[in-house]
Parts: sequence; structure tokens; C-alpha cells
Amino acid sequence: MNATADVISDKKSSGLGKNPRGVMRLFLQNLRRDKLALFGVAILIFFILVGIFANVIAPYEPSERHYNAERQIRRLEGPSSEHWFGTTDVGRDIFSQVVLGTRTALLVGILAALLVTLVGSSVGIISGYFGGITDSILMRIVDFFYAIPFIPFVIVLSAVLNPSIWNIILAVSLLSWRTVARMVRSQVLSISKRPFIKAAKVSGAGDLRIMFKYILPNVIPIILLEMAFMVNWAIMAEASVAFLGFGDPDKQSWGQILHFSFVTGNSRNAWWWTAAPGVAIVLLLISIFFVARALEEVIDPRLRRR
Amino acid sequence: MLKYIARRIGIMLLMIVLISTMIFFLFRAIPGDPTAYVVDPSMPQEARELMLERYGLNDSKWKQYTIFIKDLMKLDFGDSFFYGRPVGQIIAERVPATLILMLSAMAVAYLIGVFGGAWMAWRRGTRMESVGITFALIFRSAPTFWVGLMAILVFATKFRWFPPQGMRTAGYTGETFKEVFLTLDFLKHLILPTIVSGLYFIATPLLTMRNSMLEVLSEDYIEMAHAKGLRENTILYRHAARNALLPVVTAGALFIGSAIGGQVLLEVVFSWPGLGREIVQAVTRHDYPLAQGAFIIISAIMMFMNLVADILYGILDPRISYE
Amino acid sequence: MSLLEVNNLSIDYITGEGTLRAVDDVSFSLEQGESLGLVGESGCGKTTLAKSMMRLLPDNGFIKAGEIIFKGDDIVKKDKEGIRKLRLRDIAMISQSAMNSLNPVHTVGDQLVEGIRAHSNATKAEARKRAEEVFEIIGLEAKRLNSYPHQMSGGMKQRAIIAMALSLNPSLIIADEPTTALDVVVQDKILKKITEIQEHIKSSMIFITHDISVVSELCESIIVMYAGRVMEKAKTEVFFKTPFHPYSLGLKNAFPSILDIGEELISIPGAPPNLMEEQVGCRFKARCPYRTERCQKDEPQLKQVEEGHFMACHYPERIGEFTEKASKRETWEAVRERLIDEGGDGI
Repeated sequence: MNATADVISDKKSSGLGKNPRGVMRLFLQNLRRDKLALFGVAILIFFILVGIFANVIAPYEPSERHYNAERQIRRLEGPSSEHWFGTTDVGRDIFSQVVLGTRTALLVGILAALLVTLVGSSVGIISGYFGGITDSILMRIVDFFYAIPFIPFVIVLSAVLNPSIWNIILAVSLLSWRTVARMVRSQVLSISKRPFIKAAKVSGAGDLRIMFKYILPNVIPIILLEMAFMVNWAIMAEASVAFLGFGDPDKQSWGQILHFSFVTGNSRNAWWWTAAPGVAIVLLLISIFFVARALEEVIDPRLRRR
Repeated sequence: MLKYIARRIGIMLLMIVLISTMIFFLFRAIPGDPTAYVVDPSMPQEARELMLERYGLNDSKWKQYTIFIKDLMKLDFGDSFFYGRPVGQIIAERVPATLILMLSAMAVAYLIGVFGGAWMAWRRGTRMESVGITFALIFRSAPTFWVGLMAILVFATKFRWFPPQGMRTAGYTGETFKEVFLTLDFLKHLILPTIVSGLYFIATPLLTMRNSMLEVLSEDYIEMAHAKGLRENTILYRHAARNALLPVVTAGALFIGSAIGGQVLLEVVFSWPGLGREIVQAVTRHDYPLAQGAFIIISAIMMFMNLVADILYGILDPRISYE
Repeated sequence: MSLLEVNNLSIDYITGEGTLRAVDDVSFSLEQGESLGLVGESGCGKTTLAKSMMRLLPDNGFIKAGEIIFKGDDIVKKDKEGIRKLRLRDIAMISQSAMNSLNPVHTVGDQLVEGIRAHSNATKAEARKRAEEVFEIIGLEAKRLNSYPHQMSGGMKQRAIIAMALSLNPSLIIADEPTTALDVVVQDKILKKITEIQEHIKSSMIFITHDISVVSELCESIIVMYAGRVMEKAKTEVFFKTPFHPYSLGLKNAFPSILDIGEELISIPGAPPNLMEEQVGCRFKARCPYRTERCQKDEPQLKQVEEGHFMACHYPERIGEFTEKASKRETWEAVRERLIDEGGDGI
């Protein structure tokens, strides 16, 4: 019994405290046996390519109206060789809209995640490192933000501010940094107790230097992981807000495509109009989720998800 | 225990005041004239002034705020611009619909999730287990509103099994709670949104239960239970599942926030006349008193459910003492 | 007829990296009322062996060969229900982790009562009464039955576990390092209590430990295991007078009796072999100070060296020389150096 336990525990190596490069290497190694993660990476790369080359890939202007040979608008036509994902009620090409929507989803996801992790990690590190009253105050603020219902708040904020993706990014970030702050803080708390931090303090290193040079590298794996989950969170939030009609009117987005199919009452009949953007959202979110899960396995197998 | 609950309710009230303050100033920060949407521009100036007076919009921000907080204490949220009726009245009408949908979805999700999760852990490594996990993850990654749209497309439009929207068939009128909610017609309308919402909720209890069950099954007290010669079912339910339930409750409490978000979207998709749909409409119509009030009530419901989860945890785990 | 007879028992664990042979061809017997000490380093298979007697092996553990005859029936062949009935009522276990062996969400009393009621038609009140009795025997107040595990100290929890094991007067008690988690003073008290009660209810006991000195105080016979095999078995007094196997000699150094206090401990350098690999020759060869060419190739079988004294070494006749050298530090230092030369780390 003991012997097996030893054998098994030898195999488990935690990535906590590893440097980012080590984490990447372990992650790539794991890809070889984790088929789901491999699938995730492949789909994610596909979406990123589509996002970058969206202008080239989209066959038409998304707002262009298409006419058939009889000069009639091609209203609500199902998928065909000319319009892969069919057309809308005013004859617009849904495939082009979905392709351009990819760009918005990725932009919002990545920027919001960056902003959230930046704010969240700073608060987490400061709170965990200084402790005491600083910690108490910051954590009460975190508690306050936890008590605000997310989607209703984002709706209200997007309505109050002008509808634009920048404001959506802002709204999402305003409420999501709390999660990152909590995770990073608990990590910093355990790191601060380690001997090398004490040694650095004794040798007279300043607070800023300790935070950046000694603590930050140790929490980067956790931050990376949180960021991956945040990308998902932000994409989902953007889609929801756009679906409710508070999205950026100038940017094609998956949520907005669904908004139009819903408010025109066509979501009940024109399956292609409803299905296409939704499948895109699900695929992108699931691929990021699989990647994040594989990352989590490398960084800390025992970490609990919320 | 009572002391703990009293303290928690105190904190809750403080939080509500803070959130209300935030939301009040947020709405007052909007550029432009908030009355522009309410007050018909063709109205004579006098009538317009009367409206502004009626809603207290001529006062200074600070005065408006003190009145707002005072009224809040009396549970008075002012009058809705759109309906011209007290906000509290409108919210009271919407809350039951929201709670019924949310609680029935939660009941379905937690019942299936907890038992399914326990069962998956018991049968770990089987094909059924991986199917279950993949299924749960797909529904967690799919936006609820989209699943709702697809469900309507397939089950309401194509197969005509369920009505596509609303809470009752058009033309049906009911006044009392019993007439509105305790009818077969209502049940028929409830099923589809409950299933969609439940599918979104289910990943949390299912996966948490499975993981915590796996952890619990390797605990020494489970081996001890075997060594005592207890029957399999006794071990599974009295010892393993009972203990594995604790993290499920915690995860459930953390999930309530997202659950409410999903609920708002689903109410829109199914035209469900609840609080979530009301807040979306109120924001679209610039009906700020109503949006404000609905937001505060939604926050309060969320905090209250969190409190319930915490108390439940304390009952389930004797190690917790609320001192 | 012996109470328990284990014949040629082999147990495998199937792991991701291959098969681990945890117990290999082990035989012994235990008489009614006898207490047996099972000694060895961690990973030598002693806990696996004990668990197999209650069929409590983890899912990846399998009894590959052999039989375990308890009161005339083979435990290996019993069905689930048959095994369930045997547990606690006939064979009870006192596990090594009292801290975690009680379920935190039920009271200790409930946990005793449910065990008693799983094997009898006793009403709740009757089972409760029995629980109070065993609590008294073990020296705990009856009102402690209403406590939750987190409200009790480690010593109390261990006593509760013992009370539970005794609640149905089992014929065999398996005590797996029952006191390792406790402090020394409590350890001693509890060990005394266990043997006292065991003698009182006339049950047999298998006592598992890595501490050879405990066995000398508590047990009538001893089995020394190494890497899944029995190296030596004998009556305790015989064994402690003249241990034969080089491994036993090393163990004796590592756990000196009271008389040797003050002298520095000498431990056996190296680590047990990897049981995932096929074992050729003697299993102790890497760490044995006296190994020869023969030890590299032939696996020594267990054979009788004197009345009731068995051991598995090719050289029983060199016992005198072995014993003398074993007490010297240089002998073991040489092994450490040899291990380093051979590329090991010689810890």
C-alpha cells in the first residue's frame, strides 16, 4: 500500500512556484496525452487565425443586402453555396457576420482578461503582502464587489455609458477583478511565509522590490490560469450584453447577431440564424476551457475551481 | 446561531445601502436630461415642470439622494416613469415569477446533480462518467440564452411540445396567486425554461459532487466504515455522500451570482414576466426608478440566498460553530 | 486448529506504470489468543497483508494467489456479504490514523452504534448501552459518546476507535501502527490498554509496527517482513535472543531496547528494492553487509533454523560472525560506501 502511494506521488509534480517557462514546457508535454486539451489548442488557434484574417475570410460586407436573379432581396434563405450560413431577414450574409464577430469576441475576451488580471493581481499582491489594515480594507472592497449581481450590473452600466465595446470591457473588468484578487492574495499569503522572503526583508530590500522580484514570479502561474478563465468569462458577458441589445452597434458580434434574430422574431424559425453564432460561441468557450483546465493541471492539480 | 444570523442580516442591510448608493449616483451620472425619455418634448413647458417636480428631479443631487435613502428605508422605491405606478408594486408582482422559475430550476439541477455526481464518482473510470462530464461542460460553456433560443426552435416551433414563451396562454387572466401559478397551463409554460436553466445550473453540483465524492471516498473514515462491516448503501449515503455535500453547498453559494445573471437572460428569451426581464426593459426605456429598484431587489435576493447557503452549511457540518 | 492460517499469499497492485508485487508468497498461522507482531519498513507489505485479511484492499489491489483460512473458511473465496458479516464482528481493525478514521459529521456514539447494529438485531438503545460499556472499558466517559470527533483529543479519538473495534468481542484484532500519531506518553498507555483488553476478551491480535522494540514488549511471536516477503519468524523471546537474518540484525540496531539508551543509533543504509521490477536473488542483497555471489542469483527460501524459528538467508551457520559484525558501525558504513559506488545514493 505504502509502496504504491509512493510511486503515485512521485509522478505528481505541482507547477506552483515554477517559473512561467517551466509551466509552458510542462503544459506542452501534457498536450501529448490530454486529447481534450489538444483539441482545445487546435480550435483556439483556428479562431485566432479567423479573427486576424476576418476581413480576408468574410466574403461580403456584413451589412450588404443580397439580391437574387429576380432582383428580390434574399430574405431568410437557408445555407447555400453562396451564403454558407444563410441570410438574415434583410438579406445579409450571416457567415460574414459570424467571421467578423470572432474578432470582437477575441478582442473583448483578451483585453478584458488583461485588465482584470492587472487590477486583480495588483490588489491581491498588495493585500497579501502588506496584510493588516491594508488587507482588511481591500478585502472588504472585494466583498462589496462580490455582492453585486454581475449581469444586471453590466446591463445597467452599458446602458448608462455609451454602447461600445470599450465600455463593455470596462464594465466586465469592473466586477471581475475581485475573483483574481482573492486567488492571488491567498497565494501571496502562503509565499510571504517562505524563508526567502524573510531573507530578502532582512537584507533590506524595499517592499516594491520584494513584490516585483520575489513574489510576482511565484504568482504568475496562478495569474495566467485566472486569465484563461477570465477570457471565457468576458466573452460570455459580451455575448450576453450584446444579445440584450446593449452591444456596440458598430461592431459585428455573435451576441448581436442573436439579438437581431431574436428581436425580429426569426429566432424561432430561421435555425441557421440562431445556430451559427451560438455554435461559434460554444466552440470558442469550450476550447479555452479545455486549455485552461490543462493549464490548471500543470499549475496546481489540487486547486479548486469556484 | 441567532446572533450570527442577526449580524449577517446587519451586514446585508449595510451592503444594500452601499449598493443602492452606487446605483443611485450611477444613474445620476448619465449625460443629458433623464426626463427627455419620459417627458414628451411636445408637452407644454408647464406640464414638463410638473413632471420634473413630481419625480423630484429638480432638487439638488444631494437632496435627491437623502430622499432616496429615506424612502428606501420605508421600502419605497418611487414611481416608475413608464408605468406611472409605484416601483415596489411592480417589483412585488414580478418577484414570484422569478423565484418560481429559479427555485424549480435549482431544485431540478441540484437533485439530479448531487445524485448524478455521487453516482459518477462511485462508477469512476466508466464511459458513462466521461459522457456525463462532457455533457455538463458543454452546457456550462454554452450561453444560456442561446440554449434557450435553440430549445424554443426545436421543442416549441418544430415539435410543438411546449409553448414558446410567456407564463400563460394569451387571453388567460388570473388574479390571485392560485389562479396564476397553480394551473396546468402555468406548468406547461414552466417546463421548458426550467429545463434550460437547470441544464446551465447542473454543471456546478454535478462536477463538485463528483470531485468531492472522489476525495471523500479516499478518506480514512470511509475505509473505517468498510472495516466496520456496514452495508454498501449505508457507506455511500450516510458517510460518503453526506460529507461530499459540504463543498457542493459552498460552490452553490458562490454560483448564485452567475445563476441570477443566467436567469435575467432566460427571462428575456422566454418572455418570462419576472424581475430580470423587467430590469432589461426598464434600462431600455430609461425607466430609472424601476431599474434602480429591480437592481436593489436582485442584489438582496442574491445576498439572502447566500445567507441561506451559509446557514445550511452550518447545519450540515458540526465543525462549524457560528459564534 | 489455528484461528488463522495464511498460506502462500501473494498480492499485486495494478498501477499505471505496471504491476507491483506487494506481498509475495507469505505463510503463517495464528492461534486463538496469540498476539503476533508484524515488523518491517514502510512499503514492505505489512499493511497490505493486514488489509487483505479483511478484504479491504484498494480497488487496484488483488489477491493473486494463496488462501487465508479463518475459522476454517477461506476469506479469499467469500462473497461480499460474507465478508461484510465477518468485519468488526469477527475481525476488527484499529487503524493507524485515528485522527481521520472517524467521520467528522456524525457523533462518535452514532458511529459506534451503527457498527454494532450492522451485525445484530440490537435496538438503538441496546446498541447504545453496549457502546457505553466499551467506552467505560477503554476509559472514556459515557457522555463522550455525544461528542463529535473534532471535540476530542487525538488520544480520545484513538480510544474511541479501539472501543469500536472491541464492541463485538472479535476473535481477531488487527492493530495497524495504532499509536503512531500520538505523543509518547499517551502511546504507552494506549498500547498497554490494548493488550490488557485483548487478553481479557481472549482474542488474537496482529500488531503491525515498524518499531521492533514495541513487539518485544507486546507480542508472543514476531514476523519480520522485507520487500513483500517473510525474512524471519519466531517466538518473540527466541527471536530477541538470537535474531538470524542480517536484516533483523540491522532492525534491532535501529530500534535499541531501553538498555542500550545512550548509544548512537545505527540505521541500515539504502532503501528497499522497487517491487515493480522482477526480483532476482535475495531481496536484501543491495543492503546486506554479508552478501555473496550466491545471494545475487538464488532467492533464499524460508527454512527452520531451530525449533519454531524460521528465516530466509543462505547462511544460517554464519550467525555468530554476523551478529558480532552487525553491532559495529564500520560494517554498515561499508554498505553505504558500496551503495554509493554502485550508483545509489546510500542514504
